[in-house]
Amino acid sequence: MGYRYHLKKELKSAFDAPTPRRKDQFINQLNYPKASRLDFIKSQIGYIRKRVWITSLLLFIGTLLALYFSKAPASLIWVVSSVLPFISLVTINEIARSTTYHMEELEMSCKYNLLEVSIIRLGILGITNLAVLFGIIFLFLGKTDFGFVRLGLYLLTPYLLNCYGTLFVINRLNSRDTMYICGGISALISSLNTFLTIQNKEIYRESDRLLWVTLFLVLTVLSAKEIVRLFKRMEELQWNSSLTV
Amino acid sequence: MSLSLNDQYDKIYKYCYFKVKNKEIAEDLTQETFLKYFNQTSYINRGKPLAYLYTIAKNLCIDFYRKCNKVEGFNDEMIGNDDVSAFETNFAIKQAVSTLPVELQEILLLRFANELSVNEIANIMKISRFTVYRKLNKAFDLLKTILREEDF
Amino acid sequence: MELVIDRLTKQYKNKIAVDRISLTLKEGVYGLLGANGSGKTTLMRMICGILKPTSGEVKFNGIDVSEEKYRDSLGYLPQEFGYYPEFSAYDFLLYMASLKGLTKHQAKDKAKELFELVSLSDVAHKKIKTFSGGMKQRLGIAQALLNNPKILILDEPTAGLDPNERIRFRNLISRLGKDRIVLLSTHIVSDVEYIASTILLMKNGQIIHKGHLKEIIGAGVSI
Repeated sequence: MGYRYHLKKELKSAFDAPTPRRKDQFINQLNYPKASRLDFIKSQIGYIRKRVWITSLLLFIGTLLALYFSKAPASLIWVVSSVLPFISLVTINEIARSTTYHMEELEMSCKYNLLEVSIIRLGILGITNLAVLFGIIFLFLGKTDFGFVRLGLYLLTPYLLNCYGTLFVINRLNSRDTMYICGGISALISSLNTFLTIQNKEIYRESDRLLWVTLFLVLTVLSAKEIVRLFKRMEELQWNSSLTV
Repeated sequence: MSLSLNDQYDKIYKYCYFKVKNKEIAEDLTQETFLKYFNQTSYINRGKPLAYLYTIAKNLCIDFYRKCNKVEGFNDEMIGNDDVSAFETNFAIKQAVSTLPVELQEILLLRFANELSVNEIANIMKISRFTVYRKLNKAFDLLKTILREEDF
Repeated sequence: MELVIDRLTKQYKNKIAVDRISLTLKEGVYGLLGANGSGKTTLMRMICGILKPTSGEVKFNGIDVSEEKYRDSLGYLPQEFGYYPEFSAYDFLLYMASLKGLTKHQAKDKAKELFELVSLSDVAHKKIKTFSGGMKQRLGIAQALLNNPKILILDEPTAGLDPNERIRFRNLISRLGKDRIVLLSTHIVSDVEYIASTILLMKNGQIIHKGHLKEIIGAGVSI
């Protein structure tokens, strides 16, 4: 048996060939198939956590069923508008995942870098969010007397408030607890919305329309600014006193 | 297949050199193998890359034989005449190996020089695992006989 | 193969972290030596395109650091890195592989190969949060090699490795340095003693010496 072992070792070099001369040149310019950008986008879709899809789906189906069975559909507006902030929470957390879990430095150095990853996430989640939002508005459209614009205002304003709040925190705070703080904000907004509605049944008065429109527009602009700010941070590593030089 | 692309090149080259015994031609065939391999659009989904690489190389070598039925290729380089070191014991083994049937030599190359698994060899040579083991054993037995004789 | 760094500078308010550094790096292992605060990490981050320089350029074979093609040839191990909490080591490598433009097939092959290289094969499917510091570091080294980079930038790569792992790491780097540019930073001299062909000594944002270790010790340069 020892003989065979020895033999095996010798056999390893028994077939040695003269050194190939053109190897490096060939390998360096060899064009082997790489993943395309489209492949990358598809793979990123796969990396979006299930919780985003599940919450969106649950909300949509929940709204559908609730409206179907409800005797007073208009009274459901505040319910749904109190749940939408959580959709915003889950979505934004997903978009900012790399920063929250300190993967930015690694991701920034890759071929498809952090900025690209985030834009793709924003694109995918933006589309799905819009789909859910519009879907819900249309559901209410069929069941209540409110017009499209008014429904949009009432349903989306708490959502936008949450977007702004979450982004504000993510852009300024850099700790492991960021997630929990954002969760707290969403809970706060949701409760506030519920409280205000219960206190004041007339929250959806026609005469208050100006108030709603202003609030809506202001929050949209503020949220947009925060998103831009977030993405600017993804272009290069932000210097702060905790960076070791 | 990148850090190993380097290694794969060497291994396929060794394989081709074994078949055609000419270093320039072996390198040509090696490069052609890789070009063909990466040209397949099904590369991305292929399950057994290694076996396929060798299959391409094997077929290219066969095509090469067909193109030049001459025997002269065999005289271009004799084993041991190049920059391959030839220690005495090693040389004896190399000589012994070269007397074995070609098919057995090929299996020895794939198994010990190129370090392929028995499964991979079975796939490449289109024989069963059992047959691979059987042939390996046969090769060893033959070698033992040859080398023992030389000891005397 | 040539990495050209031309008068690279990074200034924050009134502190100059990297001061007009010019270097040309070719194949081989370069050890970036310097105390904490000398600017090593900032320099490396600029070479990786993660930090934008205040002035100066970094080009690899003529390709500017800001281009995607540059990053395609780059492998980076930062001093510290996080991970998505639900990821196993295998998930992590596959994720990084997708970011580096590998196909799923290539990624799986490569992951298997790299796990063996850094001896993490038996824990490949365990969650990263169960990993020790040394294991995480080895995982970081593995991800840096996914795309077979021509430029390998490693920031304090031996931190957290035990003596055996250090030796294996040194051997790996020696092999890698034969056909690519490896720049590794450390403040431990013995890390680079045996593997770096050139030592770059850094102090206050400048390269104060470039050469072999013996010259530096001989010259009595103080860090």
